[in-house]
Amino acid sequence: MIKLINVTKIFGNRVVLDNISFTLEDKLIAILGATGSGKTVLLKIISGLLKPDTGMVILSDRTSLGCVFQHAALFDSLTVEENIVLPLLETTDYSQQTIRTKLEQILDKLNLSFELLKRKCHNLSGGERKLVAIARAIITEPCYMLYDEPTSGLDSDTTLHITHVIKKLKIPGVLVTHDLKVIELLEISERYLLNMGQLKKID
Amino acid sequence: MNGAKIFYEIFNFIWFPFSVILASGKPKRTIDRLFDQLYEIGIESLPLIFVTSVFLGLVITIQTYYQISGMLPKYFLGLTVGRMVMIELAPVLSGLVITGRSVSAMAAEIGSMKITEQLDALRVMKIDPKYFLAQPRLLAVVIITPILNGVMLLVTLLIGAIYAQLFYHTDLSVFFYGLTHPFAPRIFWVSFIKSTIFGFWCGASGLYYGFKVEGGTKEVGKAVTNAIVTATVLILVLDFLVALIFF
Ligand SMILES: Nc1ncnc2c1ncn2[C@@H]1O[C@H](COP(=O)(O)OP(=O)(O)OP(=O)(O)O)[C@@H](O)[C@H]1O
Ligand SMILES: [Mg+2]
Repeated sequence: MIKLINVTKIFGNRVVLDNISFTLEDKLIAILGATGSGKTVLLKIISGLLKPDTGMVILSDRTSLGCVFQHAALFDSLTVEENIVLPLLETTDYSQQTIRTKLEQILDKLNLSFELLKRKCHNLSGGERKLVAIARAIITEPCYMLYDEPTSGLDSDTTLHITHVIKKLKIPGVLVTHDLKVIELLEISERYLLNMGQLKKID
Repeated sequence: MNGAKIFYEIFNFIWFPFSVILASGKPKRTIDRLFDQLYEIGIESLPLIFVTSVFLGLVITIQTYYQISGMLPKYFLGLTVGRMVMIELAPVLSGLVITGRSVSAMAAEIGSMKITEQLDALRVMKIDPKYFLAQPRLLAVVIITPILNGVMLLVTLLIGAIYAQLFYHTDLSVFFYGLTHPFAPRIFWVSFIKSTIFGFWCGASGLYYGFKVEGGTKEVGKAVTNAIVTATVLILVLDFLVALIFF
């Protein structure tokens, strides 16, 4: 469970998040918002990368998060394979064999080709970057996923592919986007609108 | 900036490299990355170290000979050149080479990673960026700087000795006699202690400003400049402090 209680975030004299509260149980919810409305800030507060000025974020015991950043945030100096397995290599004691198996399962799930693995991340296409970012986030099997504009800047085929992947993963969490069409494609029923620092449920 | 803020900045800067050393993760992986960094920093700095050493050897020998010729016995050439190079020139110049070549690169690399949210991505994965990125780099500079100091010493003195032999009819053995008489091991190890200290604080400057970047590419440029300026000033200040303590 993820719970936000009266979270407020102010940059300078700009109130980006104004007293936001909500609880996330076991489903994927969508937050819709215009550019600059504070979607990224909200996700960063949930993931602990930013501290709220007032209020708090509560994660239940052993809750782990996977994040897909708006611009993918891949490690450019590493290959695709090194990027995806990095969290396992650095934070677990899995054997090479186990890591390899997990990697293969994920490639399979995301419909990614093995040919991609040896490529350096700095010359991937936008869609490939997003997919690698998703792969890297889910390899540790997090309880929740935070997707920041997973389809922005992609053509309609790639958008379709990525929404299909997200739907198939069935990992609960929060997806933020400025694009209502994406939410329709994902068939997410619980939707919120982030506007002027306020979060409102859309029916 | 007011006084308290400056004090806070300085404290942060001084504490930074120690927090890097204390950062923890899987040790085996740090060692792998350390070797990558050793290779990278060592290889990228060597050519510049060679060029600097060759010209340093030539200039310092010419200038010293000009000062002492006709007044002092020839072995003073080896003595003076040797001491100047060991105590001052090699550690300071190898520190400056590392600063120009690697410390700047570190600030740029880490700074770019910061603005493209790669450091955030590490944090979310529960990997401490200080452990993952800063620790191997800091250790590598601390190890490489004295090695480059040693290379510089060797090349500079060798070039000096050869030049003296060819142009001042000072036999190699006379030059080396001067180098080693009276033999003062302290001078030798002060040289290496000094360059280790320089390596530590220069590396710290590069990493500190890289981690501090907020904003865009312009800030990355500023971080590189700040890292170079800070490292350069630190080399000179620390050089003075070491001189106070040891001589
Ligand atoms: N570190 C920061 N310092 C100052 N202001 C910030 C910072 N981060 C975000 N902001 C401001 O907060 C507001 C919300 O930013 P945020 O990145 O969350 O928008 P967004 O909804 O994700 O927009 P987009 O759809 O363009 O990604 C913006 O006005 C932004 O300028
Ligand atoms: Mg955003």
